[in-house]
Amino acid sequence: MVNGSRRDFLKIAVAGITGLIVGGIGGFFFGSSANQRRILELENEIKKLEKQAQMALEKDLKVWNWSYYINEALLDIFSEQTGIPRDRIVYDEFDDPNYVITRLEAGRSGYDVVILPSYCVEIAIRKGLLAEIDKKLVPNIKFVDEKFLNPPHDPDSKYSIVYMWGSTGFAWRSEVQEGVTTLKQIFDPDYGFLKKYSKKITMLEEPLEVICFAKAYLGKKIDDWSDSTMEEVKEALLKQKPYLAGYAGTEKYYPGLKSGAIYVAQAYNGDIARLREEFSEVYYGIPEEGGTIWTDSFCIPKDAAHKNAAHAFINFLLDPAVSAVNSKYIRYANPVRASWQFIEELLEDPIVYPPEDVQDKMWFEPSISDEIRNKINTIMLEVKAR
Amino acid sequence: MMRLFVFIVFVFLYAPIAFVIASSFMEDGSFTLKWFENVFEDKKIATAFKNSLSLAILSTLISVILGTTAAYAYLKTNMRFESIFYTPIVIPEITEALSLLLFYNFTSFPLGFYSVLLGHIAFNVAFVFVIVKARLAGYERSIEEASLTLGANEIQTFLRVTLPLAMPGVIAASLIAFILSWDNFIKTIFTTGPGFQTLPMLIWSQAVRGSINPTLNALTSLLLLISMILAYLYVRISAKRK
Amino acid sequence: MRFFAYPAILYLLVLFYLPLFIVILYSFGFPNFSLNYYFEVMRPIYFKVLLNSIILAAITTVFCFLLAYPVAYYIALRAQRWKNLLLVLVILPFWISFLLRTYAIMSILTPLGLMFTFTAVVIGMVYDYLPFMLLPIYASLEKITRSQIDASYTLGASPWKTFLKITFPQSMPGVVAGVILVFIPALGEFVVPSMLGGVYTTIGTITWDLFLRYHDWWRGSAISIIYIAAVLAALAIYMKKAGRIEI
Repeated sequence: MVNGSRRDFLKIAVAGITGLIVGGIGGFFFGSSANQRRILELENEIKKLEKQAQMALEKDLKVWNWSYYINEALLDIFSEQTGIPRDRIVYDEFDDPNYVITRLEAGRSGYDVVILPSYCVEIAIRKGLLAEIDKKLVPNIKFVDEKFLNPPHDPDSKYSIVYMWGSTGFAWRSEVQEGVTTLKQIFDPDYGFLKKYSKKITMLEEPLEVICFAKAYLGKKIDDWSDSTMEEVKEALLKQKPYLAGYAGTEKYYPGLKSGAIYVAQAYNGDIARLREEFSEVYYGIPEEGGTIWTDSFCIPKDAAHKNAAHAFINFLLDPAVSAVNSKYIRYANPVRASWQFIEELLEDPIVYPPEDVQDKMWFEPSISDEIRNKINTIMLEVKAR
Repeated sequence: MMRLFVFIVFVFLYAPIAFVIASSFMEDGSFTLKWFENVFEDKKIATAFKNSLSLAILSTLISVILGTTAAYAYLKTNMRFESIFYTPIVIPEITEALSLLLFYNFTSFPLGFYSVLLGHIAFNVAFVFVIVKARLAGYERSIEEASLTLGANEIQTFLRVTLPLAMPGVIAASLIAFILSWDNFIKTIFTTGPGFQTLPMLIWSQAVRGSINPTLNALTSLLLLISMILAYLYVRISAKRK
Repeated sequence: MRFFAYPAILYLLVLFYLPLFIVILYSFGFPNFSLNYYFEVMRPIYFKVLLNSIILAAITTVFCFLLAYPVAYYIALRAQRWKNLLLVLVILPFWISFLLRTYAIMSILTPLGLMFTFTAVVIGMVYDYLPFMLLPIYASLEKITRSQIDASYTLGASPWKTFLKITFPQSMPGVVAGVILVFIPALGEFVVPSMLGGVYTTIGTITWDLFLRYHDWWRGSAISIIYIAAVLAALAIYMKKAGRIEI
């Protein structure tokens, strides 16, 4: 994986440098001396402005991201490009974004950029924990596909910009020969699937994921939050629970699927893509009723101490070349349309980029009010307690 | 008969260990030493290890001193409100972690090594107190009274008479305090600041993505080996003294 | 001599009780004021969860005691030369990060088909809490001298009677300490039931979910305070009764 991306990166870098050289030589030959003087003046202007921009950048940056979610070599390149010393770039990893929210909520997290899933971005915006993003400082946003620029949880991308995106579906081991094709298998005890694989199935811990899938099974619309629908959802979950091994996040279903303790798991696509590299007897798919499209976005905490550096970092990662290299390394889909030409092989992997017709059935994570969030939390609490 | 039982318990204790050690030598089913090489090359692991160690040593030292003196005072003078030392044991760890976080933010205390350390000590003191107090309970007061009659003051009595008597309890308490710090995750992760990472944090962040880097298993195996050697040496030395 | 305790007390007051006070404030709805959160967490459904926790903690404590006492006895009174080495060997497994240990246990339990069962949770709990029972008991037993036991034999008592009348009573403080250090933290335990038990919900799980997943500082604080108060009260009653056994 690493060698491939290095080769690609070199390809792109060489292309860029060649372009610069060609441009420079061209300008040199085709300009008259007056033009030459003008060009030199302009170049000096640019250098001065770049220096000014560099000086406006704080010499410090603290980033908090999911683990295994970046090509760390990019941090070195970012450091070189911006002049921020590499040892002043703190890159920490979390395993649960809820920690991040808690830290932000409690006061000063100390971080300048955090990458959060959409449901956390929404919570953070509601609680007033994020700073508005100054789009002027992130020119590369023009390369992002417009589908991702106006997500339900943050209209107009005021507080967040999508970093990577993926899907939630189901993963199953090869023992489950019929695969998971419909949610009836997962929620309807009479269908037989639940009984057949009793105690070998897990659902995610995140309430929103569990409840949205239950709603899709019941044929309800994703933004239907009426009390009657919620009652039906709760009933469905209670019926399902006895057959579940548990509610498991990545840290449980990943080793569980690998070792055979679990046969079927509601899972995130990226985890399964990664798992398949270690262990090929596991598959991933989106059931016919649909699945979630989730996004992870850059956010800047309100009390970030190094906001300029934060914006520069976000801008850097949105550069098409950088985004392509990153995606290839971590095997996730990115929202930067201009980068997709460099990662055709990723685009063809249905686990990473679901085919268009499948995407049509899928839903973005819905935006929900505090009241609805309370409702679904209570439902999950009660289901778990019984 | 009893020996058999003890043996079985140790088997129970060490089965998972054997597993961890075995996996530090394996890669895809075949023998390899590469994880051990990694241990020394990976800077993140080295830093995390150093952090965890200094944290554990300092917190053990301080909490043992605080807890032992307190246990002694409570026992000797029959002080009331022992439950001051029980609440830290009762409180759910997440609640304690968050209370500390809020406290630090309220007082603008910087988050990093010291914020974690102070939290660990608060918790460990309680454990030390309970263990040492149990050890000291039931001792003949007359020994101490004799010491006092013979002219030693309270501090001397404590140092020369009580402390040696309490030693096994103090040692037991130190071992527990050390582990509590060394292995602590929840309190640590909420009271730490950017850039400060301990070994449990490192392991968790890798585990939660599903696969634990066998390098960590290798590190563990090395630690076990070193501890066993140290323990053996200690036993030999103290045997010689006797 | 009282002043010996003052440093520790002061430390706890500042670095434990002051933070705890903030939690109490939240349980009352800080920055507003409300008793609602307390009423909300006194729901019957939480009682089942509390019962779950108590059962798990009790079973864990019992098994820890059954496993730890004989081993502590052996190390303290039988093992002469190897005493210290054995003690270290007991502690050594806990050098390993809790997570690595749990994953190892998972790997061992999976082929046995025991994953995600109550048994798995108990095994995991007992494994993690064993030293907390063993070390205090050891510390108490260690002060019983061989000569005491021998004297008892000389006076004609059987080994079993010696144990019941001489050894065991003197180890009581250690046993009490061990029970406290196992049962109480085990009550609030959440990671082991979560990782090994799948759906087994405890008070620890609920508290964690409230604070971390639902970001509900108020209900989380309320349930924590009620829990702490209840356990401290039970502990106080227990200590009053056990205090009569302690010398």
